[in-house]
Amino acid sequence: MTGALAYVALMSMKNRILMSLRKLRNARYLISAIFGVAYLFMMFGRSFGRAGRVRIITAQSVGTDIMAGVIFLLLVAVWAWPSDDAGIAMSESEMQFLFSAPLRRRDILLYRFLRSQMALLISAVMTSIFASGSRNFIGMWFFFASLSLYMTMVQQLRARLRKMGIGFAIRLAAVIAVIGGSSWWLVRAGTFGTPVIRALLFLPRFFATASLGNMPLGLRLESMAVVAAFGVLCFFVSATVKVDFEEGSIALSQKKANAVTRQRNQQAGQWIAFKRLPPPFRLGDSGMPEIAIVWKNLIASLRIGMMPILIIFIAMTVVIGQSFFVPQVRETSNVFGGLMVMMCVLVPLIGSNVLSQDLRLDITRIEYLKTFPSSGERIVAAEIAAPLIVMSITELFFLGVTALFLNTRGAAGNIARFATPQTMVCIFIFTIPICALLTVMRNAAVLLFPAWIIRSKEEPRGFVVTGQRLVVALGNLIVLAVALIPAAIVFLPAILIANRFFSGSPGFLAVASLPPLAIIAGEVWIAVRWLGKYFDSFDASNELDRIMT
Amino acid sequence: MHPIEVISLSKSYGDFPAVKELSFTVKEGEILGLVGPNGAGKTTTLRALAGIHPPTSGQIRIKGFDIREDGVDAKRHLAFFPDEPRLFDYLSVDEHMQFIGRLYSVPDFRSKVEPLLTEFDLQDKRKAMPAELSRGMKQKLMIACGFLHEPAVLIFDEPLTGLDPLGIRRMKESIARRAKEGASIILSSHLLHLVEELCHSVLVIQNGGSIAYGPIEDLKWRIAQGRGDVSFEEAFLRITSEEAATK
Repeated sequence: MTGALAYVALMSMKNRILMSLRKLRNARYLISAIFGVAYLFMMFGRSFGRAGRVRIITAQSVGTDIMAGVIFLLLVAVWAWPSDDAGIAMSESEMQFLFSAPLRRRDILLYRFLRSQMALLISAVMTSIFASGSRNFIGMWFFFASLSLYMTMVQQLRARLRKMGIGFAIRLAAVIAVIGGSSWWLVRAGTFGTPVIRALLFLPRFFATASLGNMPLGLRLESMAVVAAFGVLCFFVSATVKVDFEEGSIALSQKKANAVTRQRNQQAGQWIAFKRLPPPFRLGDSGMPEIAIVWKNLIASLRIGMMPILIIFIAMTVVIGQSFFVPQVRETSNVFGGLMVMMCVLVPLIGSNVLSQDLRLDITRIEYLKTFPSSGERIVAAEIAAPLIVMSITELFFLGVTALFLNTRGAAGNIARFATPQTMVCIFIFTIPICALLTVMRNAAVLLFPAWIIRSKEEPRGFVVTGQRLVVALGNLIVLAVALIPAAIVFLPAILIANRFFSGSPGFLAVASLPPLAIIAGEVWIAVRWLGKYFDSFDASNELDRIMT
Repeated sequence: MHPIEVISLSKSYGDFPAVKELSFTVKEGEILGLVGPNGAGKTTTLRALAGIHPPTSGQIRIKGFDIREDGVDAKRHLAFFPDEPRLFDYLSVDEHMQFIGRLYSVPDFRSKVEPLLTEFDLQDKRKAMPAELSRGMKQKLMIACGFLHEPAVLIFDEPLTGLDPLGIRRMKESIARRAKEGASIILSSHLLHLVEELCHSVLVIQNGGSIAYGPIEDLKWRIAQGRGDVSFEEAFLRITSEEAATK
C-alpha cells in the first residue's frame, strides 16, 4: 500500500515536471521560461558572487546560537496556534481517493510527506541561496522536512490536548510562560552558555547547524542525522496519537480551500468589498446596448475596485487636513504640494493596474461575452470605458484638490507652476488618453496571453510564471514607450509653434498639447479597433479549459 | 429558409478534428436533440453555433445571418445556455436581468423581468448575488436571462444539470412552450429520456461526425429493422457501438 502511495506521489511529481517541459514546445511558454531562467540565473549569480564576500551569519557560534534561539521560539510558538483540528489539509481529489481507500493514517501521512518534498526542496534551494548565499540546500531541505513533520505532530497533539480539556487559552499561557521564562533567564545570564539555555537550545542547535552553510561538513552531517531522526520520531507520534484524523482533515482541507479561493479572488480583483452598493445610474430601456457593459463594469468598479481608491482618498484627506493645522511654512506646502502632484501623475500608472474591471475581470466569462450581440470593437471599447471613467473622475478630483491646495497654501518655486488652471487642464487631458492607452494594453495582454494572466488552481508556479510576468511587464513598457514616440515627436514642433505665436497667452498650452493628444487618442482608437477584431476572431478553444478550471 | 442552418461545419483544435462536415437544419418550433458519447464534439458544435468558437470551415446561419459574416445580427436572435452557468459575481439577480435587457435592447424589459423570475422561482432572490445562489438557481437565472429577449433560436447544453425535480419539470415545460411559440431549439444532453420526451428530431454524432440524423421515430424504426419496437436509448447505444465497431 505504501508503495502505491509512493508511486502516486512520485508520478505526480514526474508528470508535473513533464507537463511543464511539454508546455515549452509552445513558443510563448518557451520565451517566458527563458526569461524566468535568465532572471533566476542573474539572481543566483549575484547571490553566489556575494556569498564569498558577505554572509548574513558570519560568526559561527553567535550565528548558530541566534538561529537556534529563533528555531526554539518557532518550535514552542506553534503550540499556541489557535487551531486544534486534527488531520492534515489535502486537495479534494486526495480526500476522495485516499480516505475511501483501505489506508492507515501512517500511509496517508507518508504520502503527504513524499508529496511535499519537491516543494520543500525548491524552498530549500531558494532559501539557502537568497538568504544565506550558500549552497547547503541539502541541510536546509532536511531542516524543512523535519520541521514540517514536527508541525504535523504538534497539530495532532493540539487536537489531543483539546480532547483532554486543554484548550487554546491554557496552551497560550504555557507558551508565554516558556518563552517569557527562557527570555528572562537569557537576559539575566547574558549568555547562551548557561546550562538551562543550553538544554533548551539542545535540539534547535542541531536544526541550526544542519541548515547553516558555514559549518564544518562533519558537524553538518551529524546534525542532519539528528534532525532526520527527530523528524522520524515526529512522524510516528503523528501516526499513533489518538485523534479524529479523518474528520479533522476534512475540516482543515475545507478551510484551506476557502482561504485559497478567497486569496485568488482578492488577487484577481474579484473580491467584492461593497456588495450592496447601488448602481451608479439607472439603466434605460433604449439606446446603445453597449452602455449595459459600461454600467455593469462601473458597478464592478464600485463594488470591487473602490477600496484602494478610498484608501488613497482618505490618505489625501489626512494629508490636506493635517496641513491646515501645521504652521504655514513655504517648505511644508511645497512638500505636500509635491506629493499631491506626484499622486496626480501616478494615477495613470496605478489606476490602470488597480482598476481592472474590464476584460481582465471578464476573461473567465469570455464564452458568455462572445454571445453578446455586439461587435468585438464595441465590446472592447465598452469594457475599458468603465475603469477609464473612474480613473478620469479620480484624476479630476486629485487635480482639483491639488490646485486648490497649491493656490491656498502658498506653494512656491517649481511646484507653484502646477497651480495654474492651464497646467491642470493640460495634465487632465493628457492623463485620459494615456490611461486609455495603458488600459488597452493591459486588456490586450489578457486576450493575447489569457493563460498567462489567469492561471488554473492546479497549475504549478515557477520560473515560467516569473518569466511570464517579466515578459508582460516588459512588453507593457516597450509598447507604452513606442506608443509615446510619435506623440513626443509631434510635441516638439507643436511647442515651438505655440511659443512662436501664442507665447504668454492662455492658448499656448492648448496649441502645444492638442497635436500630441490627438496622436495618442488616434493610437487608442486604432488599438481598440485591432483588439476588437482580435476579440471577434479569438478562439479560446486551446486556452479555454485551462482558464475555466 | 430555416432558423438554424448548418452546412458542412468543421472545427479543428490544432491537428485534431473535433467536428467534421456536420450539416443539419432546425425548423421553426422544432427541437433538435444533439446526442453522442463523451468527446463526440457536441459542446464544440454548440459553441460554434453560438459564435464562441469560429468554425474552421463550413457555414452556420441563424435566421438567415451567417454567424461569421453577420455575427451581431445572428446573435440578436440567439440564446446559448452553457452547462456551467457563468454569472457576474458582482451583479445581483435583478441587475443581471437589467443588464441583459439593455444589451439586447428589449423594449420595456422591466415589465418582462417579473414573470420570468416567477417562472423560474427566483422572485424572492431579486437582490441576491450569485454567491448566495445554489447551483440550480444560478442555472435558472442564466436561463431566465436568455429568455428575456425572446430569442428565435435557443441552444441548450445540458440544461437540467443541478436542477431539483420541480425545477426539471418546469424547465422541460419552459423549453416545450418556447418551441410551441415558434422557437427553434437545439438541446444537447446525455439524458436520453429527456431527448426522447422533448425532441422532434435527433442528431447523433460520434468522433466529430454525424452518424444519424432525423426524426427520433425514424431512427428507432431503422434500428429495429422490423423486429419490434426499440427504445431511443437502445437505438442510440446500438448505433454508436456499430459505428465504433466499423472504425
